[in-house]
Amino acid sequence: MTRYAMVMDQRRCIGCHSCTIACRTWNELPVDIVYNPVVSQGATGIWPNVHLEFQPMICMHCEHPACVPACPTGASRQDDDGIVWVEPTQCMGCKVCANACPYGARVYNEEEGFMRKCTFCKDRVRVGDQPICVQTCHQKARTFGDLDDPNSEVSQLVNQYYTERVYPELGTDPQIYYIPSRGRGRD
Amino acid sequence: MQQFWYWHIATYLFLGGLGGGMMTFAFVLGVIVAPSLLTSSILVFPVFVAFICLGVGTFLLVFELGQWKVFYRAFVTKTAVIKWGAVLLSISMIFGVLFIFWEITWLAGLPIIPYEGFARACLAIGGVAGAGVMVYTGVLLASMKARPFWNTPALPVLFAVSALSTGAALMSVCVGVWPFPDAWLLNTTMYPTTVPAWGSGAAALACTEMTEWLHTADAVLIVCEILVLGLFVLLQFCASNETAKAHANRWVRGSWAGIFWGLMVGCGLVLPLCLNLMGGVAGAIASPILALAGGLLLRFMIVWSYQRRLMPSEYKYYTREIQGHEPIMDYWKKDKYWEEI
Repeated sequence: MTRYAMVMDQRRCIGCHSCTIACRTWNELPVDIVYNPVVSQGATGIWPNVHLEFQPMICMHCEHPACVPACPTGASRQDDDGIVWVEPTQCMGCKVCANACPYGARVYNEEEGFMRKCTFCKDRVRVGDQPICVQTCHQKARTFGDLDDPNSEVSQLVNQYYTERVYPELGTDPQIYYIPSRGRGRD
Repeated sequence: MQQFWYWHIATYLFLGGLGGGMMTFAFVLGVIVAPSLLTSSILVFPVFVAFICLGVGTFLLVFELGQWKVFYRAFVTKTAVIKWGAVLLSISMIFGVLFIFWEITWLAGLPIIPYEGFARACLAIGGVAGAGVMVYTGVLLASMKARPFWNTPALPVLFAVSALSTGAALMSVCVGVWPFPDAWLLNTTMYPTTVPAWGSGAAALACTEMTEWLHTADAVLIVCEILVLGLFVLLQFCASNETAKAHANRWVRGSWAGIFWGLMVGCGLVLPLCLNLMGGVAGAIASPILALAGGLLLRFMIVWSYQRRLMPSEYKYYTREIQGHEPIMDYWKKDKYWEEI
């Protein structure tokens, strides 16, 4: 069975925000909505050994998402391959899911009246392409693929390197894996 | 940052709890404590006020939605907390209306359903659903594990106690206002078959007893609320989560300390309790009004303590993006930019 996941290699990310812009363009997002902000952490250390780290944030497409069971209308749903998405025509805009998401991955547009979120570019993935953020990243910091396939690049990265996830203690089982730069854990 | 719920939801949580609390007390008084035709007729107006509270709350909830036309879909899922809230609200309101309808037709001498048990059953079902509504308002927020200040089992308890306290306060004001039991019940010639000759004395006595009972209940509940609120804030101080701690700090000794200690604890809990114990006009009118204002303020303070646990530097990212760029953002959002090119 397919289980889509993404690996973010923070050793490679230079914080250029290309993924953010490409996502906005591909998904035709309103100007105040961002699906995948790139957050900078630091600078840390003492000169000359200072270090700036970038953490691309995105919907974690959790195995056990907090947002889907919170949705009263069934508009928020998870496919068999793990992609979490919102059906706009069924969303009544109650914003419960946005309050339930620990990652701030859901964004609400007052003018449209429904919830928006990253869909792992499922329109591209279903026809064999990579999500637009992965394709755009010129540093190859993002890797997308099937975690259930032992030969896929994401599986190999997750098995080979030390990876971290955001707030795994909440029991959501997030499917975005971060390879921290210089083997350093998050603050 | 990342606030999604504003005054609509805060007021809805307050009115839902208030209406639910009143329905619960109507059930307790009309079915358990003093089940009689006289009690039922006195409870018509409080149940009507509870219905109005629940109705206005639901109105605020529905018209705060982005796409209110698909509100019916709130009933299609099985597990969502808000779905159960919608179901309980509907049950409570429907059976409240059925109870009022039965009582009015009966008092008017047109008993469409000539069974007294029907009214009591309506009150029981509506009251149990109302109890569910007041607990649900807390469970809705407590189920958000992304929001550390809400995500605690103490919150539904706090909301339930506050709902019962405010419910008792408003009910004590509503008892005996309408349908003027004295006037109705004295006019036995008009309704000779349905209304027994209770006389004005019996009705007035029942109203006074019920009001006193509610005042006592309110005093006990305010004491409980002070204890639960203290426990709630203490739990947040002891939380392992920094965001919850920061909110607790803001409440107790930060920028909201004046509102918390002065308005909520002082004017919303301690002062109504003192006035209640003093009795007289202050106890009958000022105490319930202050208790209601305290309940509303509690919901606002809780809803505004919404902060999500943030990643390091995430706060900086979001605030930096917006600061100073509001005119540009507004300009783009209003499509002025695209119209001009």
